[in-house]
Amino acid sequence: MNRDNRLRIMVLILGLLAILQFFIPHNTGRWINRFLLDWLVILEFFALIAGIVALVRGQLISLRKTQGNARIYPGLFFVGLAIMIVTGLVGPIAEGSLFDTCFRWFLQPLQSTLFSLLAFYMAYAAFRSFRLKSAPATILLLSAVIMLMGRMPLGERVIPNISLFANWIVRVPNVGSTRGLWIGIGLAGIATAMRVIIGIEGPASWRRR
Amino acid sequence: MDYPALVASISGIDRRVIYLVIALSIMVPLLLASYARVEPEIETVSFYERIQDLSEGDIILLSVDYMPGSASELEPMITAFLKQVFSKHIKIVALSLNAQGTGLLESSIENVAAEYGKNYGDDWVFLGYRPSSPAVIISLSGSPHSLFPEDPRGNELSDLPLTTDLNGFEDFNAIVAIASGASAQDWVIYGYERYTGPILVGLSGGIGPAFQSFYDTHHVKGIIAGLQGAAEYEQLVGIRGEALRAVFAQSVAHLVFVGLIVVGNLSFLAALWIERAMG
Amino acid sequence: MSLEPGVLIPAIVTLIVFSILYKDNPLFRVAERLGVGMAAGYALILILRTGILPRLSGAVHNIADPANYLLLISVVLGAGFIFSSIGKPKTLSRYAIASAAAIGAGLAIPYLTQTLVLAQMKATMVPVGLSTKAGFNALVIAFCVLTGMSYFSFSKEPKGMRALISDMGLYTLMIAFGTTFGHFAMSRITLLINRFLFLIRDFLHIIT
Repeated sequence: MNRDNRLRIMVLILGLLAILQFFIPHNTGRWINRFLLDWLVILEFFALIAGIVALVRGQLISLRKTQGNARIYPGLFFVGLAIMIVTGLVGPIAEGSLFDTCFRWFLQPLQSTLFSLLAFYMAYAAFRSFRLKSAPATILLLSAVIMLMGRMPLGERVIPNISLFANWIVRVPNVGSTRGLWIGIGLAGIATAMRVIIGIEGPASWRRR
Repeated sequence: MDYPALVASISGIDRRVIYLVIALSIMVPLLLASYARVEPEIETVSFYERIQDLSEGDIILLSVDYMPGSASELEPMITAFLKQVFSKHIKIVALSLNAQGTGLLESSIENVAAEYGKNYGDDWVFLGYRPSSPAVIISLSGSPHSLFPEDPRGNELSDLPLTTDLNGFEDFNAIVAIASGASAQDWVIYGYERYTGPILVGLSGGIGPAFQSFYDTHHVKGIIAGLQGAAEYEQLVGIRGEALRAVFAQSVAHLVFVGLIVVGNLSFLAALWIERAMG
Repeated sequence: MSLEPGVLIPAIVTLIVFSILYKDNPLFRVAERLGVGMAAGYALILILRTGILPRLSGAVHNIADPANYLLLISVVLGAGFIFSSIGKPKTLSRYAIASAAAIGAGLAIPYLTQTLVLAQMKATMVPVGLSTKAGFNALVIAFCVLTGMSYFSFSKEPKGMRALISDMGLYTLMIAFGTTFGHFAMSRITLLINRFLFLIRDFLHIIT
């Protein structure tokens, strides 16, 4: 039996066990259920660590490729990484520790402010690009404007009863459209999951080239 | 008047002017006004009333998934929620589904718990962080002890008075999921089938509309969405928090945002009209 | 102005990040790169100290339980993920990825069916009509669901009536996307308000 077939059989068995755990209340079923879930959580932990390792690898490659002063920027990545790893491994990580202080004094304000820049960029993009060029664009624009006006107290003073209309849009047409999207997502998710379990689809790394 | 030049200058305005307009639209209201009054929506009232219906000694499972980037929307909700819960002497078992939010969550609970004289182990427990929310949710429906044998402080869950007898979802009187990511959706998809009690969600504004269909199908029994929802909730709980402080500034910023869209479209339509008039 | 380090340093970081709005500058790039490294380190430490180590120390203390032997096998398999991230796909990483994908896919099927498909379909199939508000709303919802789903049907090119229904579906989807966009804009403005509130209240003490 070749490697691909061994993988497919393993995927089929694990996938079927995971589906069956939904239906079987028996003690053995519960034991298998617990084993599968614990297995998945541990694997996901390592997947997250693998993501960080891949990021470090990418920065190392960048550091090797760049020359002169431009090396400062990939170098700073490693400085930041080292700071958090050293403070996190050597001392405590609870509130008030050096690790937590580095997070609260530098990382938290940095990330919060970076995210908040999007407000400026969205405003500029809305001014430059949000145009009444076609019927779908007009509908999108109008519903966005009604949301922005209707969901805040001041909007009522500019256009009376706008909030009633905004609430109706959120609770009726929006529900209808997102319900259609959820059904579609559900059906597509089920189809993809079936394809993974029966071996038609899978991560590229397990297929022979 | 040179209309083509005027229209061109409006369309081609420097981006930094737009940035300045947005910045002023937020700063000036913050300087001028303080706390606003809001009209709570039915979804927020449902959230509040479900918690009010619980009794002293009941236990809530609190699941939080947020990053520093979404803290400004979710922290007011979390703080108001903790105040409502601790004032009613309800107990909390909390977990984090996002690594970066773990420290923020634990310190938020610690600060409010200290205010109400609540003790770790008796009144609240923090289980820690686990990835893969579907696996965590399904696993918790059985028992927290298998997935969380120890808390991050090194205590075994079987040694803490609050968690020693926990056997699964049936021991929780409500599940509250506060999220900026996919975990709230996972609680609805994976948690609803295993839990007969109320699932309540607090969401960052962007994902709020998508959950209306779950509220409609009674998969969630209450929603707090975004800053507006947080402000409504703070008002219901009776505290003057960050969300109520920010509502007036948010309103003005929205009006300016809409104004920018209107001006942009007017200049676009004017440019089209001039182009046609000039042949 | 507060000179307390716990306020001053975050304020300086905030202003450095805001400086990008005026012009790209070296200070911003330094802060950005340092931040990326620190974020990776922060996540790694939290995953290890609040996630993996408490989970596995529980397993090691109760090693007599057969379930914990299997757990330690998953640790070995999980290490395979790290091999694949350093560009060397080997057998271990293939089995790790395959098992995670299989379990995740298997878990998803029954739950997606129940919640996203059946429950949503059931909620759509309610009495409709024009004489009551509830009936009218149900009619609008059913219309939006059906036309929205028909827009995504690509097996045959839409012509005639099908094209009309598909177009109506596009318009109803635009209502949902516009609603979501409006809420996203609100969400980003909230983040900005929080930063400004920090600067003018906690740092500059202009307001209380």
